Amino acid sequence: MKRRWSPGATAEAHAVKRQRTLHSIRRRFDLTSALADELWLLIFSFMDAQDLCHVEAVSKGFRRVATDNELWKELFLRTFGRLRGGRSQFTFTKRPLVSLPAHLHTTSVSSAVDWKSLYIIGNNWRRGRSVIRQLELAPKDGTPKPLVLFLGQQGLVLTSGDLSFSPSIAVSSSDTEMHLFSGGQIIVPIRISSLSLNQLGQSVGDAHSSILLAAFYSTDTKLHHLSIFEISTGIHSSREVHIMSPRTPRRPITCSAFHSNLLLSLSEGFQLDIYLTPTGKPSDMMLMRTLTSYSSFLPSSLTLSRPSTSLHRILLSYTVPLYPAHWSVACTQFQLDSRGETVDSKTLRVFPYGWKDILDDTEDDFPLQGGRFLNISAVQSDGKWMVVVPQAETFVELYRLRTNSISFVRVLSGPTAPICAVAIADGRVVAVALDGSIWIYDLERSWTIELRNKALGAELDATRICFDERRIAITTPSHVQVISFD
Amino acid sequence: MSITIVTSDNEQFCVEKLVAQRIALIEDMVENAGDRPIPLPNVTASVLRKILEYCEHHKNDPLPPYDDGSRSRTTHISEWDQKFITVDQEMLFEIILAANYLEMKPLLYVRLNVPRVQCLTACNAVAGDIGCKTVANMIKGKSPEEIRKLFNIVNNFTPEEEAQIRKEAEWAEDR
Repeated sequence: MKRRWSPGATAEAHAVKRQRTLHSIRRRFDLTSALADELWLLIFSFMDAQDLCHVEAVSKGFRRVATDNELWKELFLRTFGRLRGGRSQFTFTKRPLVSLPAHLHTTSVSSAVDWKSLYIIGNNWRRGRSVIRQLELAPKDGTPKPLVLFLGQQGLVLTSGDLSFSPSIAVSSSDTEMHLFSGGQIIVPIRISSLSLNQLGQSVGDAHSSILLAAFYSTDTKLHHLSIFEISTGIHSSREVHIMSPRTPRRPITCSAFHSNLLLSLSEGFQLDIYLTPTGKPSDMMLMRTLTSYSSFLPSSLTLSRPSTSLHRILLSYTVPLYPAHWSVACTQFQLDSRGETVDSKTLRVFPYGWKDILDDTEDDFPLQGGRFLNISAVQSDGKWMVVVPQAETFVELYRLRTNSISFVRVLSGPTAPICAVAIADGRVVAVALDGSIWIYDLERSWTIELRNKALGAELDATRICFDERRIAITTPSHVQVISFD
Repeated sequence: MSITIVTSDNEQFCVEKLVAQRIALIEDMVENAGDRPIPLPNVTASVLRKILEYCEHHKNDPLPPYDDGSRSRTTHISEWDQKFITVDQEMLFEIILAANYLEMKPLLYVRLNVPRVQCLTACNAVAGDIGCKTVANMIKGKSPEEIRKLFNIVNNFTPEEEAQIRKEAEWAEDR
């Protein structure tokens, strides 16, 4: 009897195959079917991705084994170390990961992961293989600052940042698009100055799941109101569930963060508002406390994570003046319990180099590095790392946040033009330079790649970046560019 | 002390106990068999001779430790092993199969007490699964057509399917 290694073989047939004796193999003498699938799996586990792709194209039987999820999982972890952008159970270190600030997971990470497609995405990041999609915006008066956020794997939340009597938020996915308008009373032109998605997102195992989006509406000088929208995961419907106007005047909100029942916003006047909903319902959201600091200044960034169900961790990184004419950076961490009470807070500062031998001629100037800057255009943190962009410079300084100190790690260099925007999330840094080049730095695996990008040209001053594990979005006043790696 | 093994083609082998201990299956069977010869109905004399040659050479090596697979995998094969495994394809596959059946530790992989499902991880542990490494080395760097020729495999894809697979694999070629 002649048996082929058939692709549709049942589990039972596999069991039979395993028990097959050498005698029967000798009779048939078909080498590829002589070995059971698991032996081929073992053989394939010694190969790299390119060889696996070749093997996959050999025959249906080989294809089945060479696309085995466990095989690719092993290869993925061997190549990339861990999953990016989630609190994955596959991390090698036990530290809690800060999930990507502007991103929401609609699928749970542990189940039904297609490791091969993740490998392809990881490989594309590493090699800079990407597809660029451009969305045009119609700019109006003034300098609009468009905002963009990712929603799940396909969705995009976008607002142009124009001053308007009815500012809209466009929420789109590959096949649908809808616009969200606030029902608040608007008598002066306002713009949306900050947006944040609830990072918890009721994502795990909720059948009628929806996502909460907080939008901060501001005039040029002060916060007008905030709205919370509820968006169904399929992006089919939405409604405004809560509107709040500030009781005392606030400067416009520059950044915000939303996680489970806690909403944070930071104003231009460096007031940190902490909103909480005791019941968990967004309509019960109320302002619990306002914190402010006289020695902290913008630019700043805000990260919110939840190390345990009863604890929120807020990490603020910001600029501090350095007497008499320079700037340095610092970060403050708060831990809040479920009632919004501070459990623990800690401030860490970067101190520049203390002393230098002025008779040492090896360097021309006192180095303006290591925490001492003439001006700072951005400070960003992902909870583990902090990046500082000195104004009009072509490099980014990288710091590592530790329990009791911030230590300078290295300079991320490469761009030939000044860097105009930077974003950091989960051990990866994306920077855009004024010549339109995009630089990606992987801090854990220490690789750097430049994406040449002709399409980005003018108006790069007001650039913002947002990225998750699949895509980068770069906004300028006139358009939005989505660079996808999947 | 020595153990007698009888192969499928009724050839008797007298094996030193230290050598036989490298073979998990025989080790298990010795306890039950007492002084009787151990039958191996799935292994022919020529393959067993080859395997015993391996065990003889490696009889004083420490048994490879179990690890969780985090160790990087190399396809390096030591010089002696390389010479040992330079056999024709049929013999190579029979050695792999026999090693699998006999659960020979370094020749194929360590099983220890790891359940079958965890096979893949357990396999990683072993430095010496030379049979599989050899097959992997044979495949490496070859095109699908060359792999088919190597193992005499019939291409059972339709031209459309094949084109689709090639298109999907483009990401891996670009480096």
